[in-house]
Amino acid sequence: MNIRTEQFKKQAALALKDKTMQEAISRASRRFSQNRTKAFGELPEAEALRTRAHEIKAEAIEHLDATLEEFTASAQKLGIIVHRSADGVDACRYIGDLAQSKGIEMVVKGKSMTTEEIDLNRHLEASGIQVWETDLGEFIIQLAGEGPSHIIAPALHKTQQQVAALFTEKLGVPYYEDPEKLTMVAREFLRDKYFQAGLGISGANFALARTGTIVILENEGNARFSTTFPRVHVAVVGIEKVIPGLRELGVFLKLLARSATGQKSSTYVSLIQGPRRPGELDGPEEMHIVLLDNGRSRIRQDVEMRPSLYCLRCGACLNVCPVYQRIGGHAYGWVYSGPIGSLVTPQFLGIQRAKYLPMASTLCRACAEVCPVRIPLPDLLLTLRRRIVEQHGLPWLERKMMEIWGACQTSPGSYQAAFGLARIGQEFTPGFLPAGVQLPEKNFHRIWKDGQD
Amino acid sequence: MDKTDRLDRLELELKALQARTFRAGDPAALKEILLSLCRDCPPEAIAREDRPWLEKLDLDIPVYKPPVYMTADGLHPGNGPWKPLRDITVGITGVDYALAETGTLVLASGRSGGRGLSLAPRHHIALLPLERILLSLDQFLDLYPEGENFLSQGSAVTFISGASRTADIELNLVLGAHGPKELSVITLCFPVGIAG
Repeated sequence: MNIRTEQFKKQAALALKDKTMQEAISRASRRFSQNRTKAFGELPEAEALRTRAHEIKAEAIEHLDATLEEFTASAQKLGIIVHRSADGVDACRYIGDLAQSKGIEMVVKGKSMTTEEIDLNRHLEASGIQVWETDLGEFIIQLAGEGPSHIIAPALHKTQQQVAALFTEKLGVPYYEDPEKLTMVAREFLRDKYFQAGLGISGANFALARTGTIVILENEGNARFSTTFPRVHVAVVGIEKVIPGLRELGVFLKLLARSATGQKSSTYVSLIQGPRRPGELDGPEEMHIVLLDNGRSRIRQDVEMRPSLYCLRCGACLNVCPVYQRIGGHAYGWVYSGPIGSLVTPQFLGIQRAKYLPMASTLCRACAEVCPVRIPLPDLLLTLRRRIVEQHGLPWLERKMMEIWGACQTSPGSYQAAFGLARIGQEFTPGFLPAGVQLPEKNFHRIWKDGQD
Repeated sequence: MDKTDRLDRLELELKALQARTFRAGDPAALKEILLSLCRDCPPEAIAREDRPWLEKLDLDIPVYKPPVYMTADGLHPGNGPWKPLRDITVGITGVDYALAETGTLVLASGRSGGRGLSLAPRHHIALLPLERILLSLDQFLDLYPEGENFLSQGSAVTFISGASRTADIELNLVLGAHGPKELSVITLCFPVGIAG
């Protein structure tokens, strides 16, 4: 998708006026986070699991070279073709070339933030390949030509009336508002595609180094379709997804669905280990894994920011974020939104291009409270803010105001004088402070003093 | 927790996931349940997975065997081998393990075609041997301490917790998003002779 992170302020301001979107986003995120709270309440070992999950990720990423090497060797033993891509351009080219070399004209895709990140669809479509997103939410935003507004529920911002109108326009079906009917329209439309497509593309939530297995969580079954029926399966996997093995996977399986939607388990967890073997009746005949770096090694080397890579993309931090709830996902200007978007987008795209995002946080710590892998999001956002100031300095006005503020704090006398001036000054600058906020007649210092006398 | 406690727990969780549950005390009872579930379905639209212990149950239901997989002969798979699967509306598969705590069915056998048959038909009927009910995910993972032996389970191991679902349109829960709209689990409370 187009990168619009530079226009964050403008987009956020526009979003603040969009009451329909705000209502939809906050209703959904409230529901997700209530469900999460309930699910965690029923899991007595939840806090210990979060700590363990953090440790596993820290360990795997600390020794990433070795972990990746082990994963690659295991996957190759299963007959999987493993390709390392330094960036999105290389990954897109690899997949495009693969499709063309096999004469594949149609691709079905399971939901994957990583492929959104590298803009894979646009690349494939430019080479004349038809690409269908098959997750219902992704399908909706693909038809609408939009990006995801939430990590796990990408079409959260759309009302059923909007979806109905979209389906009528793009698919030529009668206008139904009923979500059940709309879902069936998508089901029928996409069902044929699974059987026609020569290539299925998925992401992966985890990759297991010991066995070479990739793990995909979903509720709809579209990822299972996309990875079972087309004759070639390509999984695009960020290098940070590798964990040691099954035992560690157990920790994450208990946390991920509960964090995302409050489910005890996702409806489908697929552990895929290679193409169809001799004697098996289904599965693709060829399987590729694209291990994508695209800036992840750089983030890993930046020891302060390294925990950004522990993220499972569950969306829990979005659901509790007061900023995300007001401005929604699109304002962030790229694929990742909410607190995790504010954190990773500047690292992926460069601070220059996304310098407002780390500011879009109240530092209330709600995100850190719910993160299943205990990423200290507010602390990392502060680190980014510090770096932005170090590189660019503060804006002139903010710097001057801080200097004046600092000077006023040097003695009780100057503080009192400044307070007095400000109190009088506010009478002449209506609108400078928000409605209902006024400096009081007497400040605490004065009241205290009066009480003493 | 004994076998029946685990079964009780499993059924409770499955019902919470909108799945239907049944218990069959003997092969005759199983046939009766299957008959009642498939009453409105033409026989040619019903298929079962190709598993040795399902064979022994003598169900009189045709085995699902996808024809030889398409190779690079230029034909779209949709024109050929998957056609039969499109027309099946009830898929009957065995279950390797069930995890009571989360209402999860584990389909680990890669050889028998259950990967597609548990997904494409509108109604998935899962046959679960009573002794294969474990309490938790941890108990399942404990079966594979090294991970190596897990690979012998085939090219795909699938955990299924309820019927396919989505809430992508204004958070309304809709079943049958892409996969089965209905999941029925029949627990077989009689010996079925599974090896291993």
